Formats: sequence, structure tokens, C-alpha cells
Amino acid sequence: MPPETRDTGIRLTINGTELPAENGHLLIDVAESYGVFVPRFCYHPGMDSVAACRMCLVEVEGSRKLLPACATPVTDGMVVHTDSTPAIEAQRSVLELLLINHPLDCPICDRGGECPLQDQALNFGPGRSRYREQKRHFKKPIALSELVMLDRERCVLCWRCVRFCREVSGDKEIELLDRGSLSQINRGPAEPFDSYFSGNTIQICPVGALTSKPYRFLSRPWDLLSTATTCSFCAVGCPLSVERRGDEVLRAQALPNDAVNSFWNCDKGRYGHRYVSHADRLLAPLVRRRATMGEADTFEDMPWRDVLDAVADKLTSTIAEHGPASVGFIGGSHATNEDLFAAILLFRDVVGTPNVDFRTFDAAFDYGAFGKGGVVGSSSQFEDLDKAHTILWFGPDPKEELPVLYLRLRHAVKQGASLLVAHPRRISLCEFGTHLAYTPGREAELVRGLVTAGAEIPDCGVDRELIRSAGHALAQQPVVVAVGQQSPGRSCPGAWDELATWARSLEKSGRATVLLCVPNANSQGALDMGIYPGLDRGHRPAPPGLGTLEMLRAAVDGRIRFLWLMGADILSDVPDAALAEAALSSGAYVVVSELFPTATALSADVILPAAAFAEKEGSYTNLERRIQKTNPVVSAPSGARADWHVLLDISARLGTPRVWTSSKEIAAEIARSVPTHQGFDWELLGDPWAPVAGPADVPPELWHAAGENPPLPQYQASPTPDDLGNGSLRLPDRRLTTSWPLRWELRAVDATRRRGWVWPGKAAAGPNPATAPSTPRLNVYEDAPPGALFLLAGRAIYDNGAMVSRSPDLGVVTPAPFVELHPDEAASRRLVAGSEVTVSSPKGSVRVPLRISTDTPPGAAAVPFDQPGMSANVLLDSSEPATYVTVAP
Amino acid sequence: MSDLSRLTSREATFITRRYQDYPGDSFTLERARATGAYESLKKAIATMTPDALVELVKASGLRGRGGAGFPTGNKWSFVPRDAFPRYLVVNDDEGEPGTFKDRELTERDPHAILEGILIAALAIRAERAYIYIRGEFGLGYRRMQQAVDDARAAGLVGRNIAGTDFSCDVFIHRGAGAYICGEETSLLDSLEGYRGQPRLRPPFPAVKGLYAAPTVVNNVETLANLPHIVAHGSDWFRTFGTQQSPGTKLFSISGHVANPGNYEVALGTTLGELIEVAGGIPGGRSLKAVIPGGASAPWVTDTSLPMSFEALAAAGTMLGSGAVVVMDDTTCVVRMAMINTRFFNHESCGKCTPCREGTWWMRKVLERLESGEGRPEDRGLLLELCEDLLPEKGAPASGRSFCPLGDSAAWSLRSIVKIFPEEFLAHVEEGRCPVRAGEEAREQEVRA
Repeated sequence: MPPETRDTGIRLTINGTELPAENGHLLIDVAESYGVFVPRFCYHPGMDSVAACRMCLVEVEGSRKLLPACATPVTDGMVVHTDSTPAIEAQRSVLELLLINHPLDCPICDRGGECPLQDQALNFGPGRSRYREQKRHFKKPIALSELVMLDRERCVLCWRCVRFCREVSGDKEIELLDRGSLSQINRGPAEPFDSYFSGNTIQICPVGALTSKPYRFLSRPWDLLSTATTCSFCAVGCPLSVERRGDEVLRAQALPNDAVNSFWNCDKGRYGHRYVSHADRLLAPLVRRRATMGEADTFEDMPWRDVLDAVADKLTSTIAEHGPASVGFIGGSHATNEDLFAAILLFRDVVGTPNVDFRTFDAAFDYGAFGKGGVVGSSSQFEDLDKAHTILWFGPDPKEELPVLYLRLRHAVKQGASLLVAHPRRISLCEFGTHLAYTPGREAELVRGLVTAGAEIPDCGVDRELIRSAGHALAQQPVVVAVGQQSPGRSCPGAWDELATWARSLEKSGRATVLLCVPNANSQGALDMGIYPGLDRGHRPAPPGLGTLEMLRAAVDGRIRFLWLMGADILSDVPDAALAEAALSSGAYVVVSELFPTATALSADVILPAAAFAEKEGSYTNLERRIQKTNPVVSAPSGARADWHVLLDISARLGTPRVWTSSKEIAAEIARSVPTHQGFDWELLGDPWAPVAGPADVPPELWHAAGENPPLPQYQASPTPDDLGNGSLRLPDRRLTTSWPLRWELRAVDATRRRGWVWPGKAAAGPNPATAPSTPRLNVYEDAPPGALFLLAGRAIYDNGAMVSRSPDLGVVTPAPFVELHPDEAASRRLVAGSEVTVSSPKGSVRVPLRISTDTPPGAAAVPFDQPGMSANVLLDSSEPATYVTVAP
Repeated sequence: MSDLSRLTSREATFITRRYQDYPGDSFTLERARATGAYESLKKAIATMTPDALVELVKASGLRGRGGAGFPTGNKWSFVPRDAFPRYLVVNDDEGEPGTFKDRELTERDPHAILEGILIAALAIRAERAYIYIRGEFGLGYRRMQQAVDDARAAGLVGRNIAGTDFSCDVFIHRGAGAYICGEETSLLDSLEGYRGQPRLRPPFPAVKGLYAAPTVVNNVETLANLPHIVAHGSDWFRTFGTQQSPGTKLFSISGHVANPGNYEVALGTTLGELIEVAGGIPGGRSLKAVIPGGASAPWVTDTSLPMSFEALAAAGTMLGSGAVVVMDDTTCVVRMAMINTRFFNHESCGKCTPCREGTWWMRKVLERLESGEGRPEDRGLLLELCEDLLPEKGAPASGRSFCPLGDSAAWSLRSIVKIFPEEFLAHVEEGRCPVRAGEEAREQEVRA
């Protein structure tokens, strides 16, 4: 609702104090904002109210019944009592009823110690039960999936998990079965709860009914220390609480930010972070010892000082012999802004090479085309999606690659946005969006059709009427155009140029904004810090340089003699495995900074053990240009060092010493020297554990009135049997809590507390010099060899990446490789679903099981990009805009 | 006796007239038309505006026959004036224990219901009506479907009814066996294909009901009254019944009476007269208690009570759906309370805590009591549990559960415990059911 039409300024009375509020807000939230805690189980600020648990019943004068505060909007003049005898009696009674069938097995329950039922039973319950009958029994626990366990005896049937699956994730895999007292949450017998968002149900469960299988019995909550940080996987950048006991990461939970993730995160973000303590971690720098006489090379440990000297010497000599342009740097999309700033300082300023690029599997994607008046980045924020009339999605499957953005898109459509999904495959979004299923390879044709609103429609496989109506939808405003790489290895620069030019013109007239869907946690930060050919810090133009693929080709040619790979596993990620292999064996000196001995690392000359995400301080920039803080949770292995530290050491050895001793000081330097980041300050990113709402946040005159005494301790003492023995009701003096009584029970206000900082997306106008507009290359598809299929690679949420494959909790859910064909294509080749088939391209071949589905269009073969036992990049040819494969038994 | 025959005479009844007169074929279109069916509809279409119809029904004082007794005309007038489409939903999900009057109407005079549906649709300007019919009604469903099909073939349902520009199509949906689906918002959820559970109100169905469109939900008996009101006017209607409860009512009388069945009598007839109409209590036994309005209604023992909405409300109970269950002195009230509570527990949808857990707990206690394992504190505990679900000192319908199901369980149980405290105590003291023990003793005597 626009602010000018929002009805504000009503006054209501809560527990005797008249207070201002906004009309229509829920009573439970308004009371909470004044520090008056109304107990609740089913209410969750991220979902619609159902008023089922009846725990939040309060007295509203003039109403003949007690009203549920979670479903009662405040109105002017309302007089509310949350602490009157009828309200307290009701809360007490509901709590006793909730406990009659609860097993009270808190001592062996993971939730014990952070359990809303426990906490509220202490605060609002009767203390002793009159129930003397047999409790309800279910078999316990049962596994809903490899990640989620269910104990139906503990369940209080608040529906939160079911509502999450219905309202938020749309994966309707768990339901309420049976009726009345025998109601139970469960799933279908043959349908595991394999939602990518299943872990959220555990976090929002107000009891110990849903527990995390990997975390079961690992710790008691009071032994855990929580650190607020930002997820290290994709470019959505969900705030995360990573929890450790001792020096081991045991659990991660979503922190709320209504600008980014609302209250949610994906299971990869929740379960994928224990790779930091994997046994494969590199513990000391390793240097290759070349073997003689046919023996295999070996690596030997070397002290940091010596290895830095050796690398600096090699760098100096390479510059001296071959010039600075013989040096290249690849990687950093998972590194912090501060790491990347140190990297660019070394490579652009000290070495003087223009050859820097963060891209790996997205190496064929031209981000420069989407330079917005010089800035290569989004002009939209996620919150714009909720207000959009039309959203054009021209990116990857967000459910696989940017999972929480998928939730936001789903929410936006619920809010009334119409979603156009341009993708050759039927992806997750097609369930609630209009699918513009263009013929694989005809991006340019579809873009032409959309840009001309259907006036010009080259054959792209999409129905003319559909394109016309899509054109009409795009003529409304506001529009959000989301673009990103759909299939690694596919390049279609002309299409992106045209789309970008069109979007930019809409942007100028204020009708549209662009969401540039970069893939990784800090891909955008890498663009901001100038890790991109032709783009310097703050999106200033830089001398033209080589991109990832060009650098690898140059290494093969001998033009690149020194290559620094920072967290870039090019053998499995660059969409041309043969090229990466050739580059690594070309004789160029390769330095790899890594967490694990990846195949790429083992091909290098020097391996530098790096500090991981949960071990260092810094900041990430998400795909909407929002900078959020990442914080150390555990200490790094003794031999591992933060990348910025190593890079500054090399700079110093090359004669440019810097005095920065922490990434905080580098952040200050970023604010000083990067024009777009002026005003950047870690302090702005917000203190995640700032005191939560309570009287302290309320103007003193109000909270003094709301409760006449200074704040009481957080918990009411639990009543002793003596208090209750005579049947009299013992009323607490006051219902004002000084701080939030429920650990992990998140509130609406928490989601507004820590929004990060979006750097101002304004820079010099004019096209980005990094990109020379190229002419659209239409009809690429016609070039297909007969019988060949267009290869559509797509990244899957759980892949064989260095981090995910070493996350013990995700090992159980990583799906197996496959190739997917349309039934017609399978039939014409006489292929049977489930059988092993050979997928071959001119570059290589893989053997994988066949899936048959109409999700993949005729004329195409879809494969996941990087799965255990299969790397699609073996098939990909980066010198061609598209790869064609044959599929045979 | 002459007094009693006057109560059910031709002059005193009209809803059941058609099938009283023609029990063999009252459900056919031919017979229905021959006895005046659809004439009121035609009259309404030809001579009345929707607003005039609403005013007529308001003036008649017709109150909903499903249980709540809400004035039908008022309910209709809550529909926003300019929101379309809008729906009429017919509640034929008769589930209140002891009630079997809608079933009889559906089986024996479906055209009266259908005519009422079309009149109501005309009044609220709905072009679609859905009949939610109880799943167990086999014959009723077939007759109703036949009636709709026949009427459609005769141009009385569908587009341009009877050649006018009034159109209304009627669809039948069979329920799947849940008492809660008789509650109107649960019925709407069930009709939409969801689990039948009550919805949050507001928004009320009149504003946002079926498929989020304005919806009126009416009981079939309510609708069966409409043709008569349209034909004879509101003043005629008010000649039956009482000032606040005009009209006649179908009472389903069961239990210990000589001739259990449905009886149409004017509202305001006393409970005693009603029992006599059903043949009185057989075997010379005496009355113990009566459930005056279905399982949800608190019990009464006073047979001089007039059976009207207002008189029963004043007596602390309700007319409800008109299900009168008569219990004589051989009845074990604890057992009856257990059966009643077991029903509510079984039919609780499970959505809200007080109803789901409270009825479970009450049932456990009652089952224990009835099987002779009662404890001295049980009687007090039952009253406390009733208090937890429905505070006694609060206003009526001020319960803590989401919908009135939980309130009903507590409301009726409390009356039983309060009227017959000594029977509950006897169960505890004797360690068995005294009534059953007496029965067994008598049986043995007979055998000896």
C-alpha cells in the first residue's frame, strides 16, 4: 500500500495504556511492539494467520468472546486486556490442553532449551496438569526425509509446517491427515518430504515434533554459540545464524530479513555449511615436486614464508620475461569483498595485468551486456518483485540456483504479479508463471518478439498470440526484467544486448528495473571490485583484458604464463573441461588458493590453503547489490589463511606494502577508494543480535505507561504445586517481558532490523566500454547437425561442487546424474527410461541414466551441470555458442 | 387427543402437506406441479424484485431451520450489492444426532426444496446454487438429482427459467461424512475440495464465501418454507408459531416415544404436547430428560417449555435443528453423556486446541466413569473441563474453540452433569453403571 493512502494514527488501549498504532495491523504484532508478549503457537509473521491454537486469546472489550490476537486487526478505540483474568484463564487452559497429549520428553528432545512450548508452559501454563489418562501414542520418530524427522506425539498441530509448504514453498508434500484428536502431520507413503526448503519447517516448529536428522542429539541448545553471518552459497545472500559447539559447526538456521529472505532459507544453506570442518581441508601450503623418470609428481609441505617468496619470485620473473599481460587471475565469486579488493590491488595495480575474471561455469555469459549506464548490476531489489505488475524471468531455474529468490517470485505472484518465464525447459516457475517455451538456441528471436511487443516475431517456437500477450503484459508498469545464465556454456551475446538495451530504455523511463541474476554469494562483489575484464573497481572502465575462457586459451597458446585461481575449480566448473585441462597442463605456473584438494588444485604448482567462509570476517554483495556481513564462527585450521592476507603479502613482496591488518581496514579503504561504495561501513550492515523489541525500543514515556514498574526479569517463576493446590488462580503481576522470551521464535520486527546496505547504483551514464555491442546471431538452431540434440545444461541445487560434496549432511540428498529427453526423442532412438545411455559431443562423452519427461522440449537433451560421476563440461565446447550432442544406447 | 390432532391437522401444517397427501409420488415433478410447485417461483419472477423478496422474507420473520435460527431475510441482506458472481449454497448435510427431517424433505419433496432454492437465488441474485448433500443420503441424493434433472428438462432450472430472463443452475455435491461440514464455512471448504474445517471469520460467507465470492448458505427446511411465504404472504406465515418464531417446524422426535418420527407442528407448541404427538412415553415409564434441539443442546426436564427459539434460549438451551430425543427413567445419563461426547470428539475437526484436546479428555473421563473406574473428582473435573471450553459466566457462544463444535460439547455435557450429579456419583461409588446393573438384575429375574 502506498504510504500516502495508508491509514495510520489510530489509538488503542492495551492493558490500561492508550497507545498509537497503525490501523489494520494485527493485535499480536502491535502488542509485541510495545513489549507486551501474547503467547502463541500457530501464529508466524511470515504466514497467514489461522487462529487454530487459541493460545493468543485476549479480552477485547465489547466482544462477547475472547479473540485470537493473531487474527484480530487493531481498530481505533479498541480496548484490549492481555492480562485480565479471562485472558489468563484461557491461556492457562489452552496450555494445559496442549500438554495433555504431549509426551513431556524434554530431556531427550532436541528442542528442549529452545522450545516455545517449554518456555510458554513456564510463563503461561498452570504448572500442574489434571490429566490422569493414557496419552495418545504414535510410532516415533519417523523419517519424513533424509533431513527431517517427525515425532507426532510431540506435535501440537499448529499447522505451521503444513502452511509453510502450502503458502511459502508450494511443495505440498506434508499434510494434516486424519481428524480430531487423531490428527497427525504426515506425508504420503511413497512421497518423501524432499522439498528444497524442508529445513524451515524444523525451525518454525514450536515444539520438538520436527527435528533435523543431521543435528539430532548432537548438542543441547545452551551449549551452542550462534554467530550471525551471511550464507556462502548463492547470490541471494540469506542471513544465517551458524551455530557451533567448541570449534565445530553443528547447525545453521535462517535469520530473518524482509528485504532478502523474509524468514526462510534453503536446505543447501541450512545443511551445507559443515564442509568447513571436513577432513579434506588443506592444512599447509603445498608445492609440486616434479618427478623424474616416469614417476608421478608429488606435493610437499612448505612454510608460508617460503612459499610466498617462491610465488612472488615467480610472479616477478614472469612479469619481467613476458610482461604483465602474461599474468591472469580467475575466481573469487565465493570470496569476500575484502579478499577481492586485495586481489585487484595485486593484479591490476601491482602486477598491472588486465586479465582478471571471476567467472567459472558462467564463463560464457556476458555480464557486461547488462551494464546499467556503466554499472554492471541489478537496478531492482527483491522487494520490487512484490510491487511488480509483470516480471520477465529470462534466467536459470531459480529453485535450483537461487532457491530463496524462487520463494520471493512465488510470493510476488501471490501478490498479483504476472510472471513470464522464458526458458526452453519447463522449469519450476512454470507452475505459476506463463511459460514462453522457446526453441533451444533461439533466445535472440524470442527477445526480438518480446521487445517489439509481438510486432516482429521471428520463429522462436513460442505461439504468436502468447508473445503478443506477453508484450502487452510488459507494456504495463512496473516491470522487473530478471536475466541470468540459463545453460552453462551457451553464449548468445546478441540476444542479451538487445534485451539489455530494451530494458535499459524502459529503465530510463522509469517503467522497469533489471535484476541481474549473478550466481554466487559474491559474484556481484567481484564485479564491484573489478574482477571482470574491462571493468575496474566501482564499475569504472578498465583497459580491455581477457576473460576466463580467453585466459585459458591464452595459457594453451603460451601467452598466459602465470595463473592464480582463487577458489576456482576450473576442471569441473569451466564449461569446457578439455580447455581447462589443456590450460592446466600448458606449462603456465598455476597457483591455486583452495579449501580442498580439488582436481584443479592437484594440477597446480602451488596450493595455498585458504580460510573458509565461517572462519573469516568480511562482506558479501548479493545480486541486488545488497552488502551483508559475514562473520567468523570457528577458527580456521592452523595452516589456512584468509585470501586477503595472502594477496597483501604477495603485494608487499612485489614492493607495494600495505598497512592493513584486518579486513575491516580493507573495508574502510573500499569506502574511500571505490566510488560506488562511498559511505560503505560495516557498522551500517547492522548488528544482527541487537536487543530485540521490548520496552527499550519503545519511547520511555510509553513503556512506563504500558507497565508502571521497571522491567521484570524475563521469566515468571514457575508455579510450585503449593501455589496451585487450593485451586486458586495465581495471576502474574504483569505481562510485560523485557526481552523476547522465545529463542528461535522469530518476529516480524526481527526481519526489519538488519537489512544490510545497498550501494547506490548510480554511476556515469553511457554504455559500458567493456562490451562492444554485437549483432544478434539468429537461427543458431538451424546449424544443428542432423540427429543431434541441443545440450541444455542446468545447475542443480545439490551438485558435486567442492563445498556441497563435502557437506556431510547433504551427502544423503545429492541426486544422481541423468540426461533428460522428450518422450518423442527417446522413442525415435528406442531408448527406455532408466537405461544407461551415452551422451556424446565432439568434445567428449558421458554415460548416464536416461530420464524421459516433457519438461525438456524436443530437439534438446537436458543434463545437470555437475553431478557425482558426471561433469557436463566434458561435453561442452566453449568455442561454439552452443553444443550439440547425440544420445545413444 | 382432539387438541393433539389439531396440532398436526391440514390447517396447521404446510411443509409436509404434499407428501402427507401423496406419499407415493410426492417427489416427482408431475405430482409436484399438480400440487402447485413452481407457481410461487413464477409469481416471484413475474411480480417481485429481488429487494421485495428479501423484504417479504424479513417481514415473515422466517428463521434459519439448520440450528442457529438466524433470520433468513437478514442473512440475505448482508450480501454486498454489487459483487458478482455470488452463490447460494444449500446445506443439506444434516448431521446433528437425532435430526432426520432434512433427509425426509429431500427424499419426499425435493421439488419444494428446489423451488425454494430458485426463489432464494432470485432474491440474492445468484446464478448458481450448490446443494451440499450428506454423503450417506443415498435415496435423497438420487431423488434430488432426479428433481434437478427433471426441472432442468422442464425449463425450470438453468438458463431463462420458465421463459424469463432469470437464470440459475443448480449442482449437487455429496459430502464425505463429516459432521463439521454442516458448519457453513467448513461446508464451503469441503465444497471447494479442501479438508472440511471452519474458516476464520470475518470475512463472513455473505461477503467472501464460496470461491471468495459472496455466498448465502441456507438449510433445506428454511428453503422449503419459501414457496409458501411467497404464495400466501408474510402475514399468513405469521399466523403460525410465535411472534419471534413464526411458522411451523419439522421436529425429529426419537428415543423413548411410541411413534418416533418427523412431526410438523407450529413453533411454540410445548414439549409435552410434542411428546404426546409422537405417542407419548411407552410402557408406563416416566420421563427423565429431553434433548430439545440435537446433541449440542443442553438437556431439559420441564415438559411445559414452548418449543420456540426464544423460549428455549431463555431456558438456557436451544431449539437447534429441532431434534427432540426423549429419555425415560431407564436411561443411564452417564452413558448418554459418554455417547454424546464420543460423538463430538470423533467429529472434532482437530483444528483448534480446546475442542480437539478437550473433547478427547472429557471422553476419556466419561468412558472411565461408565466402565466403573470413576474417581470421586471426576464430576468436578468434567465441569472444569466444560468451563475450559465454554466459560459459564461468559455470554452465550463465548467459547474458546474456533467454531461452535467445542462449545456444543461443553454446553450439553455441563447440563447433564448439573441435572444428574447423583448419577455420576453413583457410578463412582458403586464402581459400575447402576442403571445397567438394575437392567441386568431385572433380566435375571425374568429369566428365573
